[in-house]
Amino acid sequence: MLKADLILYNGKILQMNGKGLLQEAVAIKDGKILDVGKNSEIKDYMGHTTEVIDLKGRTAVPGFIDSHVHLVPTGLNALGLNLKRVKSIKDILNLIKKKLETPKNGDVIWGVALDELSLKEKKLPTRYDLDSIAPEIPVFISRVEYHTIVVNSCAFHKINLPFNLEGIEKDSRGLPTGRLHHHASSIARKKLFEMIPEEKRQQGVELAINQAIRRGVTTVVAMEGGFLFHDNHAELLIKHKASLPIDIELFYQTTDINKVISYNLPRIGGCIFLDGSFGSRSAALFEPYQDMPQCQGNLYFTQEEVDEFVIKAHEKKLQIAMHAIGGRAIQQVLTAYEKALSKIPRRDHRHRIEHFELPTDDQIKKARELGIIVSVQPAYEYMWGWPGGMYEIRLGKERCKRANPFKKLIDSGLLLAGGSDSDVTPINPLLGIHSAANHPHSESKITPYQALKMFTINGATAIFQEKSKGTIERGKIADIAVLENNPLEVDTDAIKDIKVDYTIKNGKILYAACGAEE
Amino acid sequence: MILKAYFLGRLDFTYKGKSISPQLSQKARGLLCYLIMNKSRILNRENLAELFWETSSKDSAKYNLRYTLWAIRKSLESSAEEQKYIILPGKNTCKFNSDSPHWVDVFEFIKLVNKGKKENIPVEKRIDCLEATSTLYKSDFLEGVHVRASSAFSDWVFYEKERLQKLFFESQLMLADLYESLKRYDKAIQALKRLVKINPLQEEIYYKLIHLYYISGDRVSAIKEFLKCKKTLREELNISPMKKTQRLYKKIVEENNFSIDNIDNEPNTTAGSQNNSILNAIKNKKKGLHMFFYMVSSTQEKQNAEKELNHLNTIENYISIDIARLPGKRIPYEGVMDIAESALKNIEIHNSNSLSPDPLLFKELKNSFEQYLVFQSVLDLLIHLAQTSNVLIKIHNIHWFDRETIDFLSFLYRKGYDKNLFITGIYDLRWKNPRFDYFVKAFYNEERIQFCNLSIDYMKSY
Repeated sequence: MLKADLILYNGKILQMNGKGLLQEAVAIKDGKILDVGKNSEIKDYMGHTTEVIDLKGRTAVPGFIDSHVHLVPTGLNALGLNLKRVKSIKDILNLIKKKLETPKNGDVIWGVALDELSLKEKKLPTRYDLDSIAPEIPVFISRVEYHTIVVNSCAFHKINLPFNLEGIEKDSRGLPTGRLHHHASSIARKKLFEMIPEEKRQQGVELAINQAIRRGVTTVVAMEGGFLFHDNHAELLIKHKASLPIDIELFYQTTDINKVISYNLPRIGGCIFLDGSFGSRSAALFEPYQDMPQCQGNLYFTQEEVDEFVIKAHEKKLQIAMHAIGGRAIQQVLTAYEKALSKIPRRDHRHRIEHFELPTDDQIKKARELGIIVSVQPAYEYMWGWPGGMYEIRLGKERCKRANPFKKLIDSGLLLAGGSDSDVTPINPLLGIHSAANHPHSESKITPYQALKMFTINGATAIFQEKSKGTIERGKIADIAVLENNPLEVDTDAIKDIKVDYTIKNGKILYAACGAEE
Repeated sequence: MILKAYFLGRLDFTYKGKSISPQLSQKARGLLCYLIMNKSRILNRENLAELFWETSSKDSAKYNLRYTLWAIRKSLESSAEEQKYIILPGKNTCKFNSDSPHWVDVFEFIKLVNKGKKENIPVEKRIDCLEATSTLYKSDFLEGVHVRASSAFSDWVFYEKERLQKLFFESQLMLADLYESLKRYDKAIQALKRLVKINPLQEEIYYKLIHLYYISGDRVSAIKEFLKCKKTLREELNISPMKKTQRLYKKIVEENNFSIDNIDNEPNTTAGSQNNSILNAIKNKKKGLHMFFYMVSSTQEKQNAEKELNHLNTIENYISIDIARLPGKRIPYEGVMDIAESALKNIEIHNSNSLSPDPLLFKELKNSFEQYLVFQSVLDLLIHLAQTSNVLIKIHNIHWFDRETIDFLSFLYRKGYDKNLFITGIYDLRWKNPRFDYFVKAFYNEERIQFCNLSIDYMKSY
């Protein structure tokens, strides 16, 4: 009889294969699941060199799959200055000063998540403010939604924006203030990404992956490149993904089909922004925003352009994913998918819609008919779905109840893959599961089991990997997360507090929490 | 020539043919550049010290300035040369000696752009000047130069950089227009490509390039240029090309016998709408008042629009009134008076029953009621004229008009809506007329008023 490399026993093994059986032990050999069963059955696989872990009643679930992560930006933001909690311009300058005093502070400083409304001055700093503390090194400060960036004079010199680029704010003397909006901000952001050396980007990726591993994630679906990001992020992952400790499945965010094919990628898209977001009132709604009646958001593509891209990518047998939040954007992508599928029918295309936050009933039905996979981010509800939260402010009391209608989507027969959209919300599948099971609107709540599926087997299905991942079954890759408690048994409002004790990838223990062995 | 200074692109100074930049510190290079660029001014040394050493104490800044000036002078005058480049006219002042033998790329560049603008010199000469500007403009002003602890100097650099970049855009656009008028399309394309290199996100330039490729017979390059534009706008700004650009592309792709002029003839468009539609309105005997304005932003466009206006002279059975032919800002009501006078002349010619103008026309207006009466009187004259024949008013330089005359156009549209009056004119966007801008904003969506060839910048303001 074959002997296992690793055995987990005395646990609750949630196989997520739909059979509802709770097993006690799992044997792993050569990175794959050798067997799952009762302690007594699995004991037979124990050999002299078998490593054994007594789970002591802990719960093992398939390694989590985060279906929507901006991995490189997540890492870079973690390396940058976090300005979420600053209270004044002086606080910002102090943080920059500290960074300057750190050895190896690098060739460029960047800060993220600044909201000027939380500053006592109620305004963004100018380049003169930044110059006062950092005259020699380029500094970039991003507003919380990335639509505005403030740079110091050194950075302004280096990014060398043309005079006729829209969005360069000027003072009364006609001189640039360093605050860059809209187009100028997009370009500045790209230039920043170019200034950050590759080793720093790699460092960022390692940091983000380590965070993911600590949360039990063994597969990340990375949405990289394109507008708001940089193609060098996608290139970096293509170059290094084989050497990374967990699986990275890349969606290259481009409409350049030939480029994607040249890299042998089976999929294209991700956050190809058909519309914006609720926060910036740029998600394309059918009805105006509650707090800005003259605004219904923006569509960034014409229907013709979406159709053209979708049909070409579909013809090349690529899996497609596109960002659509508001109803008008969802309609655009559904229309394009429908046209492509009617022209070239394909049964198992698994085209996706990312976010799908405010669909109509008809759109849900249409998505089901077309066999679309919906990639959702339940932690949005945790952040913005509560009374008085951003959803309610932007959409109004009634309409916000229709946002992220997970139960309705599942009941209609749609397959939902769960993600974080990191770093909009952190890479933390248990928070996602918690958020879906505790949806602020009871009619949209789903069971913890359904939520768990979103981050395991459904995530695998959404990238054509359900035969090798997503459940704990014989022959599958041994990707396992060991949890302190069973998310199906604890109070639903305590799911987010469950700790990950082990993360096992390809049968290797990548992470063991402090005291996990005890 | 002994000292040569290069500011457009990498900062460099050569003295007697050899670069002296390595001998000069970053501050010295910045200071020498500043002195040269301000050679007509006597500069206060204290101010200069503060400009370049703003974080140092006063004494230390002054010492640094003294030392740096010495270093510059040394590197320029170490030989037995008589010429002094840096002179000290007073105890606390200094200045670059404009009589010294020197050559500066920026000054040469400005001189050539200005020469290239002159319409009274032969086209080939203008082209030579403008071509030479592109050789001089290697890159932006003081590219990559950042002088430590001197934010005021940075401000000055940003200001100069923008000013010179604008001039470069102006020169290359003008050059492209001149080449186009001579049908030397490859050269026009080269000029515009230089601008795309500086700003790859300016769609109007792509539009011009696509157009030029197409009219030069190079359909493939026209299509490639469109695809490049589309990809760049999508990847950098997540936006689609303008409808006008998309329409041009479609026509190129779909039509074999496509004429470029058709692009601007597409109905219901905001930019480049219904070229010659005033002519169409007249030909089709459309009833009521119609207005049509050409929005131009280059000499070439202005000339083309003038041709269109002159072409209207060929139409028969029309009373044609030409006004505002000569340049110069009009005084209040001057335009209204011109219309009234021309109308009166025509009434005398076409109608034996002379009509006396309202006396109010010739006295000072005291209030808006009187303004109303004047406007109504002039309208009455036009209506009177329109009884016997259709009336066409051509305003050759609408940008020179006084605000009252523009208000009169607005009045005319409302009160003379059902009269057979046709008004056309040229608005040169380079001469900004805020009142006419308001007029455009107010009547932008009116069916019977059209604005042709709106530039992208102009459109963005709406």
